[in-house]
Amino acid sequence: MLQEKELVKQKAKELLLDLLSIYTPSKSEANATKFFEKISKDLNLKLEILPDSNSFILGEGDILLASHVDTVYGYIEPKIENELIYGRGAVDAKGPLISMIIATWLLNEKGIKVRVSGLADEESTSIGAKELIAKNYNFKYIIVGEPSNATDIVVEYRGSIQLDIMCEGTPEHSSSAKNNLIVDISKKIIEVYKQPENYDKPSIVPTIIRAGESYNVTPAKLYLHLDIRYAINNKREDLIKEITDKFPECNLKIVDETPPVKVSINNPVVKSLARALLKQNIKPRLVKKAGTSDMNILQRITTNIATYGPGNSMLEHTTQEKISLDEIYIGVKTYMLAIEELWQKI
Amino acid sequence: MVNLKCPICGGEITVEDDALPGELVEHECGAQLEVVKQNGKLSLRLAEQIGEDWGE
Repeated sequence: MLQEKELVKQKAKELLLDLLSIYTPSKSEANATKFFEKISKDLNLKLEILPDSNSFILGEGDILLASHVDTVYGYIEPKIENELIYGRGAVDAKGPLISMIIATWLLNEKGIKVRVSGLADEESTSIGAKELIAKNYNFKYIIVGEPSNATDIVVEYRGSIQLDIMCEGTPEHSSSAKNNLIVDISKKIIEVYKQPENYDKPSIVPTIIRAGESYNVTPAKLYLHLDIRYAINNKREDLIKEITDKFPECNLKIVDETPPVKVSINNPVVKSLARALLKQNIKPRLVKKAGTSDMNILQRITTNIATYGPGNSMLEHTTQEKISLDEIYIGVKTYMLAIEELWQKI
Repeated sequence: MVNLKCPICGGEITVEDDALPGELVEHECGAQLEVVKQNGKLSLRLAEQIGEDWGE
C-alpha cells in the first residue's frame, strides 16, 4: 500500500509540475499538445484530439473522467515545497486532471477500460464539453473533475445566462441635454440588479457597460452585459421576462447559456464515489455549487454523472492555488475505487 | 438486498447487502437518508442536508 501511495505521489509530482509549466488559459489549450502526446506514449493510453476545441482524450471505454486543461488567465511559476505544489491551475483543475490521468493509467493497466479528458475552454464557454455533445460521444458514466476538497461530491450546479443588451438614444450637446442614455439605463440597472445572496436566490449582475464617445455629447449607443445565475428551482422564463420588461426599447441577445443541473443521490456515480470515500474512512459530503462546470453541459450525455476532485475549492482562480500530493493521492484512490464498482455494472 | 424503513414516512426502501455505514440514499418521499449499522444491523436515519459551496 505504501509502495502504491509513493508511486502515485511521485508520478503526480512529475506530471503536475510538467503540466503547470505549460500556460493554457482558455483557447490556448494547444500549448499542451506535446504534453499529452508524451503521456500517451509513456502511459500506454490512446490519444485523441478533438479538432474544433483542442480537447484531449486518453484511453478507451464507456466511462469518462472529464476534467479540463484550460485555466483562468495569469501564469504562476510552478514550484513544490514540502509536498505542496503551487501554480496556475494546481487546484482548478490541473490537480484533479492529473489525478484522473493517473487513475486512468492504473485502471487500464488492470484491464479496466476508462477514458480521461482534458477538455478545453471550461473557464469560458465550455467549447470542449460542447464538442463532445456535438460529435455524439456516448458514455455510460461520467465523473467530472473539479476541486471539491477531496471529500465533497457535487450533485447540483446553478445555471447561467449571459445576456447582451444594446440600447440606442438621441445624442445631444451635454450642456443642454434633456435625455441621457447613461442615466436612464443606470436607473434600470439598479432596479433589475439582484445581488448574489444564496444558492436558491437568482442573481442578476451587470459585468460590462460601454457608452459614449465624446466629452460633450450624450451617447447614441450603450452596451450592457448581464451575468444571470439561477438554481434549478428558479423559473428561467420569469427572469428573462423581468429583464425584457425593464428594457423594452433595447435589443436583448442571449450570447451564452448553461442550464442548471441536479442529479439524484441514488445515481450510481454518486453512490460509487461515496462508497469509495467511505472505504478510505472519509465521510462524504454532498454539495451544490453556485458556479457552473462542464457537468452542466455533459448531463446531456448521461444523467449518471457527478463532480468530485482533490483541491481546496476556496483557492480556485486565486493566486494562491496549491495542492498537496496527499490530496492528489486521495483523488486517485477515490476515482479508482469508484470506477472499479461502476465497471462491474457495465 | 435489504429492506429497510424510511424513518420519515415509514415506507419501504431497499439497500444493497453490502451497503456501507454512511452511504446515502434518497427515498421516493424525498427524504435523504444515511445508512447506519448498529449491532450488525443496517438501518436508516435522516442525512445531513446538502451543503453549499462556491465556484466550479
